[in-house]
Amino acid sequence: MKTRRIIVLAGLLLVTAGMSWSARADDTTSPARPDGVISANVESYAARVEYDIPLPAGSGTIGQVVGEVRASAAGENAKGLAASPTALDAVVGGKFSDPQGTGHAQNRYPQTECFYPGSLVDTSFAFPTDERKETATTPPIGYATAQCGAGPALDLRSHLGGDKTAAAGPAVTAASTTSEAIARPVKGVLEATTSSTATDLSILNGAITIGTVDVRGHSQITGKPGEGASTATVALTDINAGGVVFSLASTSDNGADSVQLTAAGQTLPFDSAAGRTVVDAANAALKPTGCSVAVLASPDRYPQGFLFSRPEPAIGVTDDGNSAGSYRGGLLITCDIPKSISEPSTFNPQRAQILLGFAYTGAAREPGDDNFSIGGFGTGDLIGAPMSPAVANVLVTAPSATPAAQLTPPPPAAVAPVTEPAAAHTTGPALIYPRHLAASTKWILGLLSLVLWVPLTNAGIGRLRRALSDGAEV
Amino acid sequence: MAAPTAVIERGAAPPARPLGEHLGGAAFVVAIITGVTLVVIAALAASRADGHAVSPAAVIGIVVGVAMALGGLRWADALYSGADDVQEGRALLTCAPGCTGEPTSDPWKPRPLWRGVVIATVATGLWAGAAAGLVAVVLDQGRAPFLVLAATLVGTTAIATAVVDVVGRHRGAHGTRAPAVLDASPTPLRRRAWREIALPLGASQFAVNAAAAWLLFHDYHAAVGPHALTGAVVTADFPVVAIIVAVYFGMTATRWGRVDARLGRIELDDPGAQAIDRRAPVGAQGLVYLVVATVLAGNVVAWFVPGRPSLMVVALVRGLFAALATTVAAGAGFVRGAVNA
Repeated sequence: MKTRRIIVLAGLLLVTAGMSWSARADDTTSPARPDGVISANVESYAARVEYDIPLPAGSGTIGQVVGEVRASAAGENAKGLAASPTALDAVVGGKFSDPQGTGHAQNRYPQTECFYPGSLVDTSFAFPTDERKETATTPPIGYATAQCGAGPALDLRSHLGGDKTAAAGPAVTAASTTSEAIARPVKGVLEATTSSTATDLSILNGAITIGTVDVRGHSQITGKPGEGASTATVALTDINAGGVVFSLASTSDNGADSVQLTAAGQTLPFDSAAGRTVVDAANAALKPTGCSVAVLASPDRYPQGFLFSRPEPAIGVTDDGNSAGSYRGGLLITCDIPKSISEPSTFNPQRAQILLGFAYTGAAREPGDDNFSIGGFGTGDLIGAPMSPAVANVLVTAPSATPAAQLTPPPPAAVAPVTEPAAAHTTGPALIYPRHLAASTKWILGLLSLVLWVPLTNAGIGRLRRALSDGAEV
Repeated sequence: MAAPTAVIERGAAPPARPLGEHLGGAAFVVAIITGVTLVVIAALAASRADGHAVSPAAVIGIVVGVAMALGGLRWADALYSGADDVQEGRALLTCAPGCTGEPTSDPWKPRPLWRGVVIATVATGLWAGAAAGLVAVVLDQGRAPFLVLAATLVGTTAIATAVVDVVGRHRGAHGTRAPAVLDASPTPLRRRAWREIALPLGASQFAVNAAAAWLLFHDYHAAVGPHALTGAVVTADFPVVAIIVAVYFGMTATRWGRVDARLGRIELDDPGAQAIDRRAPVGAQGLVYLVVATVLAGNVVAWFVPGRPSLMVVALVRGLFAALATTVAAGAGFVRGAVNA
């Protein structure tokens, strides 16, 4: 009898092993992955405008490129968005898409998105050509391309050229914007690079003007100690705030931060008495306009707008080479919008918060055995609701500031049509590490499972046989 | 004369099979039904995972959770199904009275009944989880796509559930003639139906459906679109839940009530109101009214769900709704079975 039971147990064990090997066989069809979970993030933009009406309502992010690549045992994915010229938040985007509120979209969002894997791996949007049927014959004055691919790799580009283009409501106009971002592993280095440039910005009909906004960010890791690096720089030149002219340069280089002002031919640390005097003078000059400026430099929190949120990223470069990240902001401008501009909206008072220049890059690797993390299953938003219903309800109905692309017809071929596609990747992606379950983990899990499985199976078979024999000798 | 004979033959119950043989057949059917259910669960789980593949740890977690949910419920139903098989003449006890299979205590008393459910829940969870642990070892770093997850679930949970079914039916079948059962003092119908059966079942379904809500909606992170976690999305399938729960627990508890009544375990609280004419038994159409009432209750519940609920709120709401529907269906079904017996 014991022999038969042992045979049955062995048979069941073989079935289980066979089931396991079938799983194994399936798994071997996937290529090897870097050790642990790797991810690289990029985001930069020339300007972000947010309106308070008086509840916060998002507006638009000019020249934005934002994306992420990620690889783990589950596979790899890349996703990204490029503005053309403005990435619109949900509320404003909804109004832009369906200005008459008919329930049928008339305009496509002036932005493009990619996602890998899937069908949206190479997308583009020509502005304003692709906006709607009526603009199909209008030559483009800007474009955005988004490419997501294996590796994983991400390539985002956004460009707008031309005369003053009101790209994010009545608060901000700009002459041209260009943004780029690339994130991918290359030759053992996981890198994330981004940049955004905008020229000839005007805020609130010239209350504040800026010659150039130029932001750049770069982070890379190899997973080896001492090989991580991250830099972020923001440079704003020819800022004219109520007649006070100055320039701003803010840098974070592997954790070493500096903010400098240049005024009247002199370069000063921002936190010096003379530096503060310049900003105070600008604010005093701007007081009649209802605006004020503040140097943001390194924000306390990730400036991510009202409607969407992301976890606070890891900032700084770790010694073990597994994480590198930095972000930098430029100038924060807050304006109480005059009623003449905020009309026809019935919401008063309105306030605009404008962040000029922002760049963030981050690269990270979670090393080792991630089999016991709940991979493929996030805990979800167990506690925090994405948005309080009160705010959500108001936002859905709020006739927020309308994007200028809707208010102003596109200039007729002011600039030569942009036709060139984004450059292709010049180097292929590379793996960083092979991945395997740690031997100790494998043994402990295997033995624990076996120790549980054998007696439970034995007991189960015994109970089953006794029941099926119904009292006969077993 | 031939026609009536043929009608009688068609309507006659199948001949009783020896219990052992009957249990084998029943276990096979249970394994098939459980297997189909598990494939659906695997598809849902895989569809909600990053890249439609779950990690080895998630495989273990899903297998353990599903096995516990199915194993515990199976034990209670198998106890009653075994007794029902004997009472209905589908199975024939082959061993002599007092044989080793006969329970020495009353397995349908509330405490032993639900203790047995807990033991079966833990045992099936551990057993299936241990087998899933071996699968996880072989998966190494890889993640399990749908087919692997489905095969693992079927190979572990369906087998464990079938074994629980056989053991439970065997115990229930022998319980029909156990002195401890036959000598048990009857319990008032309402107390038995609602307090001892329906409420514990409802509580168990609260936990099961709260966990299922997490499985279904844990990847709903979008602010807009089909993957936005909104009140409308999480309550959209309430009618489907109500129908499934009403049909399953309504029918199951009807059998439980019938068995309890035939065993003399229950007494009518109010014979004048509860006793029915045998020629006009309470019909299954009552389930339709239950479904309608539950759907209406679901609409009321949906009123209180925030427009943008957190996943915790979603789990609570869906768990509560399923618990409510289960309690009502099981209680009503049990009473129906008892008064019709």
